[in-house]
Amino acid sequence: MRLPGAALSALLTFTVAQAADSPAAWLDRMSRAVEHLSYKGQLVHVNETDTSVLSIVHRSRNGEVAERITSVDMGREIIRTNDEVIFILPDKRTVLVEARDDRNRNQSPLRANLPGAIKPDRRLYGVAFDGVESIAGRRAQIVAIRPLDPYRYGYRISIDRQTGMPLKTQLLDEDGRALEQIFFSAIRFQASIADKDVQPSVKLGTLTMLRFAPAGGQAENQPAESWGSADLPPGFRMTSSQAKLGANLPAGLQQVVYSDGLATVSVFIEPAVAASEQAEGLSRIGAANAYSTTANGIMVTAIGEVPAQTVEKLARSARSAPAPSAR
Amino acid sequence: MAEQTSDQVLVERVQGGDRRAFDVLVLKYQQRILKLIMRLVRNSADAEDVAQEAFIRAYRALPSFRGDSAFYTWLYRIGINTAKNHLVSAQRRPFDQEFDPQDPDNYQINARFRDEETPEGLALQEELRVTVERAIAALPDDLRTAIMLREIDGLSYEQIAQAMDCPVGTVRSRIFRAREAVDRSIDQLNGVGEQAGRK
Amino acid sequence: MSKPIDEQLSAFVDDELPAREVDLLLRQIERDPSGRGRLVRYVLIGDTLRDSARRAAPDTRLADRVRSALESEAAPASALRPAWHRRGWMAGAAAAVAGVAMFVLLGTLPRQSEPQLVPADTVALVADSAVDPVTTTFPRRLGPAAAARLTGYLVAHRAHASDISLNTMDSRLLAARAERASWSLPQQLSPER
Repeated sequence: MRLPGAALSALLTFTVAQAADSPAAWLDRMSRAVEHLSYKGQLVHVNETDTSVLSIVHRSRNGEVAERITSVDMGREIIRTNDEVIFILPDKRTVLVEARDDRNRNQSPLRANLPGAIKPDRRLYGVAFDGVESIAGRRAQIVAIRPLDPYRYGYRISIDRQTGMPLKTQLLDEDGRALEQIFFSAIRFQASIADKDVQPSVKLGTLTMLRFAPAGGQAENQPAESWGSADLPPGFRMTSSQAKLGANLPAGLQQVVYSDGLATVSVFIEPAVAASEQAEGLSRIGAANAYSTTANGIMVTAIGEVPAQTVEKLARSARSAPAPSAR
Repeated sequence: MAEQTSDQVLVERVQGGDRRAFDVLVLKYQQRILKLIMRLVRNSADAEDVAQEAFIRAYRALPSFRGDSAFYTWLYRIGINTAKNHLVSAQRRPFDQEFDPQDPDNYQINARFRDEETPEGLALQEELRVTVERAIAALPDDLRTAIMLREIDGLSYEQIAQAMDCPVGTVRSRIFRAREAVDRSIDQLNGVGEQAGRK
Repeated sequence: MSKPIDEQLSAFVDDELPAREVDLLLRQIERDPSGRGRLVRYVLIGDTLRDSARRAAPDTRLADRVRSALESEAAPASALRPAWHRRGWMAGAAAAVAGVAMFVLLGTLPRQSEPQLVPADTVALVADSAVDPVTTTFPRRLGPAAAARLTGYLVAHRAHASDISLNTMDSRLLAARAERASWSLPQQLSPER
């Protein structure tokens, strides 16, 4: 949703004086700030196993967003515009270009043109202020999004008091421990950003260019069976069901996605998995939990940044039903 | 190439307990590691501490370095890890009112640092650059060509020998003599050199 | 200082010092420490030429500090562990998976060859394990193939989850992940130059 000019400038002059607003209002403003502000900064992303540092230049101009994200240590870059996403991998001597269309816009990392409102379901999450802190030398108001049941994780977002920009975001587990966080170690807002600052900083000439075209009809095939859940965790509903097709993929692989509005879980159904490769039970990768169970050679795996019991519930409750004959 | 690189030999020496060998490696790579860390860390005072820590970690980890990668690559990653740890723990420190955000102008891979870039420091850098450039320009052609092919184009001695149609030993000698000449100019600069510390 | 040793320093800076000359180099430097400064300045000359010298330390101060620090140690202290390894086996396990993931992403993991953008990385799983060798293992029942599959699932999950998850994190995370990816370059796509 685009704001008309007057509302936009009102947003951008949001100040401490309006701190009396509710936490939910802060989240609303934050969602818009992310898309409509222009800034340069350095981001640090930390999870259990790793830390990465990124330089970011983000420009929003007349509703058009351009962004350049550079990995400081690896020299890789992502350029995102309304039309495409470009991955530049100098170490692989390759550039990957993906054109965005309306269909894969939903699946692309660039979300600038999507309504980004964060509106946690009040039955599932409590939203409250949680103090103030300083991030990158700026005063930030902390908003905590706390789960009201053990099926989801919480967040703490430190929002810049002057601009509404999220300066730090943490994903918290059941004990309130940060599983993953991302924060600005430096940021500067500036109204005008030069074209060159959102263009590749690497010479592309000698790199191999590969172009991804939108998948087209293939990925839209209806799966032969439709899978669902006989016992959803509270608050979760199915948001998509897709066959994953491709030459290197196992036949019949499907992905069903569930969400509670903030958290998402993917359930993968993979038929005919060899016994030696079947996984059983709970696994953990970084901030994500995964639960696998197998029956009749079909392996179901639920995976997502949610507590273990959520993926377990979704995996165990997965059921198939033959789809109505299509075509 | 069957022969070991000098870095490889030095690493083995260190693994055998020879600290002088490590010192030489540090001397060779200190600037590069320092610059790398400066890109990640906020100010140059911290950067030097972090760089020192990185080298010490490298020293301790060397016994288990198996040579799957070049020594410098391995050292580079240690530098990055150390810098990142520092960033994370620095972020947890309480609000420091005196702390200025790093100037995120010119956010490319070689980000500039605003703090502690005193006029004197900048002037010295500029003076250094000019001195080196003048010294290079004053070199006889064959010396200048040799050192430029090496430093700017990154050619090996072998490649330079082919390019200049001379033996490798001559290349090595020319590059050395070029450096010697430039070094004499640098030596005359105030504050540079082994005896003069800079702060 | 005698010229031959200076020339050896010069060759050393260029990685062109023959192995057999290294010993001599070390002995000479020990005998005449002014070579240390010279070594640093030779490196500096190259940096300056490449216009990448910004905060170069044109002296041996840093190396001096490292040297003193090492000399003053009574006994080798336990290795400094990166912050993320404080979590113990969990982090180690994830890093072990990361090792698998890296290998797998280079060729054997079933992955989408169709042109849907798949950030091939998974949550920055590629730990910088060159520094701290990982000795713990992931849940024992999970073999490498299973771990690799799980990694692939996580990748596909991330790509999709960006739809509705907290946008302040996901776009950055996605960028972080893609940037960390050991990208499996699809041979199936025809290169466009």
